Amino acid sequence: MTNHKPEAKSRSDEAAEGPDGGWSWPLVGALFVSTSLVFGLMRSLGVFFVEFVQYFEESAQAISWISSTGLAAQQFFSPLGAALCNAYDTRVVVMTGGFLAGLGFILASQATCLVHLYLSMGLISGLGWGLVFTPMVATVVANITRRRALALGLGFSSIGIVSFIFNPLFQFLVETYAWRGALLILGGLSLNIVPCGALIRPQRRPKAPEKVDSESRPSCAEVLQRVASYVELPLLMERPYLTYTSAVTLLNVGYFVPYFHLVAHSRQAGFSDYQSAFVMSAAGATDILGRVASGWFSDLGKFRLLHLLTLWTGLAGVFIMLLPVSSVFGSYAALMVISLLYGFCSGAMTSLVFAVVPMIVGVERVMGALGLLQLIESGAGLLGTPLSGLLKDVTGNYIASFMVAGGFVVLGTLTMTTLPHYFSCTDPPSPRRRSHDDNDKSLHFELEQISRSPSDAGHRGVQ
Amino acid sequence: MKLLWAVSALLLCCWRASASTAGFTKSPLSQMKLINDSAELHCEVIGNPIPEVQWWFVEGEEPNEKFTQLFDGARDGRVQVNATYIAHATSAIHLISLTLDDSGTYECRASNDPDRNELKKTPKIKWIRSQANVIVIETPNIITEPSEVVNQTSAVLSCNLTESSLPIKGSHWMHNGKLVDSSMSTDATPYTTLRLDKITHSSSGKYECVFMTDPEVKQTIEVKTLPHVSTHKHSEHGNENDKGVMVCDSHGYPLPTDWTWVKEVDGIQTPIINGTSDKYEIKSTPNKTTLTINDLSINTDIGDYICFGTNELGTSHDKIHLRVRSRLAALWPFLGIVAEVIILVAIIFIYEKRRKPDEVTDDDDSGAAPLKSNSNANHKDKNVRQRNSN
Repeated sequence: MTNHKPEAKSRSDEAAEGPDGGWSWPLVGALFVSTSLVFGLMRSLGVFFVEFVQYFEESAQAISWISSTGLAAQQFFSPLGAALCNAYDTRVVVMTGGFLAGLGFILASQATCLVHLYLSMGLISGLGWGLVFTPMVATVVANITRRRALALGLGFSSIGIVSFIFNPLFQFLVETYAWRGALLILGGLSLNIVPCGALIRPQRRPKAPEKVDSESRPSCAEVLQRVASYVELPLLMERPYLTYTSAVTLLNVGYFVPYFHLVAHSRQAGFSDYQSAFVMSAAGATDILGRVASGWFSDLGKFRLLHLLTLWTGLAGVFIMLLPVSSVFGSYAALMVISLLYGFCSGAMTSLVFAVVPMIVGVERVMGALGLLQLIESGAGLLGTPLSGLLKDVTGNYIASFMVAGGFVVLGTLTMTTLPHYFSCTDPPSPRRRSHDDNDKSLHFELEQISRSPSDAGHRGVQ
Repeated sequence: MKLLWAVSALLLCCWRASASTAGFTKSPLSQMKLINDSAELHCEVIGNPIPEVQWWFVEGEEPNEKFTQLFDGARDGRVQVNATYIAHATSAIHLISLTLDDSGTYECRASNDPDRNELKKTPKIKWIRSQANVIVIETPNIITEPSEVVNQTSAVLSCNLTESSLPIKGSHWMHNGKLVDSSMSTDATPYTTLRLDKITHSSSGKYECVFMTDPEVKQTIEVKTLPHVSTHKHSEHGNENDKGVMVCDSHGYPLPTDWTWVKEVDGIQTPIINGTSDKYEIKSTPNKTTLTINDLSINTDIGDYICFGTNELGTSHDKIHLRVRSRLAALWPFLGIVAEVIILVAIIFIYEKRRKPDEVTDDDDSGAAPLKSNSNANHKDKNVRQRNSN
């Protein structure tokens, strides 16, 4: 009896690494492919927007709403994806998401007006992406413990690598097949997420609902409670999770600003178009490097993941603030160096952001935690870029917007330091899901077994 | 009684003192103009009440001066008078298409005296005047050499200012209305040249030599070349049953007056005539020509299309190749990808079924009862043994 709990714990650890150990690296490959088909695709849609502006004769702003809708839908439906995975099989959810993403593009190829594009490329594909991204990340996080950060880093590096391929590829597709044909083919490409989802082991059991009552029609309150448990809504009541979410939200307000404004800022500082574009590409290259390098380094175990994360975010914030300073002095070399460093730090940061989550909420709740995190941080994204644009319009240059963006990132870093047990050198034990009912259930069955043991022994015989 | 008279006289004085006589705040300025140029004279007067402003033309010498009033529309509409009377009076007289007879003295007269136009009363000098001279001179002759440049690869343009006694402060050249930077000179010579080493369509146009005299004198030399016809895209795509648009534009001087389109298939050229059928539409402006082909078909519309632009010197052309994309062209790669996806998924499922057929029932739920499992693979479940041994 005393051995029951530790046994169970080691068994689940084994289950996390053991039989899945050989299977978890194909999962990283699946994450690589699905992330590239979600975010890499989203970022390379620029080619189509030029065609849409010409064909539908709408303004560039109206067309850019398509990608905004897609991104917003992906982030908004993340908790839904997480909840469905908790309630049903992750594999089915991801495969459905892949199918929806492909369907969205296939429908978009038949669009006759802009609203069709909003609904198909924006809403349906966004819904599909929401059902894919968070579950894939959560699955990888849950299935790999020793090399978690490296796995995530490798998975997310796909976005940068693939954007080198997708941009010329999409241009070629539009030239050869016209945008309708190209969207159709893109839909087919997106369907490749389905085999990625198929690689996920089918879940043995759905997460046990809170109450195992035998009522035939659960009441409204019970349904809501069940949904809340699938979405992991109670997480919002926990201080560590809340702190972490606010920190990541603050980070999101600022850390992406340079990608939008760096080129314009360099041009304003007096560098040529070619030089400005090159700074951007260089930052993108170090971003990829940063993701993989930081993932590998963090897994060496020398430092706590949380400390490394705060290091990278703090540095990223500082470099963002230094960006306008370096270009104000007119030195191209200084701008290049700081952009490279910024790219490295921001890439390093992205691979760790999700890896830290299981340490705060426990492996079992990662799915719902990531879903909620995506939803909450989406608000920050909506706030960040318009705010920096507004600052630029008001002050006339980008110095204020970069400073504010860097300030938000540093603020996020400081918020992270308020997490409980931040300053200890080792990770605190990660919380396990402990609910009264689970405890009661196991106790109940133990008692049952004790009372039935003699007859059981007779039945089993062999043992 | 005396007190009443005194008070009323005082009031009268006060009332009269609030009125003020008219005075010029802006007087017209004398100017020298060329024939066919235009001149403008301004006049502003303050006073209370607001004064009236008139324009008069003075001919002859004193004392035999002849005064003629100028109204809006005088001299066959060549005179325009624009006056405003808000807070103070302003008036501007505008003379267009100046001739030598317009030379003379122009006078701006103003008065706010209520009796100013009264002929019966003793004429008093109630009008204030301000004069300006307008001198119209013959346009000095500028001899240009050559008068026109046609189809040459290089040229030297020169201008010689003769018959002018006006002082020259300098000279420069303008190309199509924009200053040629290297031609600015402050020499007081009446002779200036501009060298064009290589004449292409970008350096063709209207060149003006400008002498900085008062007023400025200039002359134009036209540099003409063959039109330069070009397209933005040498290879155009269109969708089947959709419309295809091909654009040619032209730079240079003079711009083409005629555009024609020709379709070339296997070396045979067939002209395309606007309006013969619904299929072809040609819209042309001197800068640009657009050929729109409706209802593209793969069989008949693929080929080369040549646009010809013609001006007074000759014709140039450029070629565009039209490709028609079939509606279903993208379907084959799409079906290929879908097939690949289905095959991958099938492989994954089959591989999984073959590798671990019995693990499907393995329940490794950590929190709930491990004891419930009745699979034979539960050798590692030591709890069962322990329990049973109890």
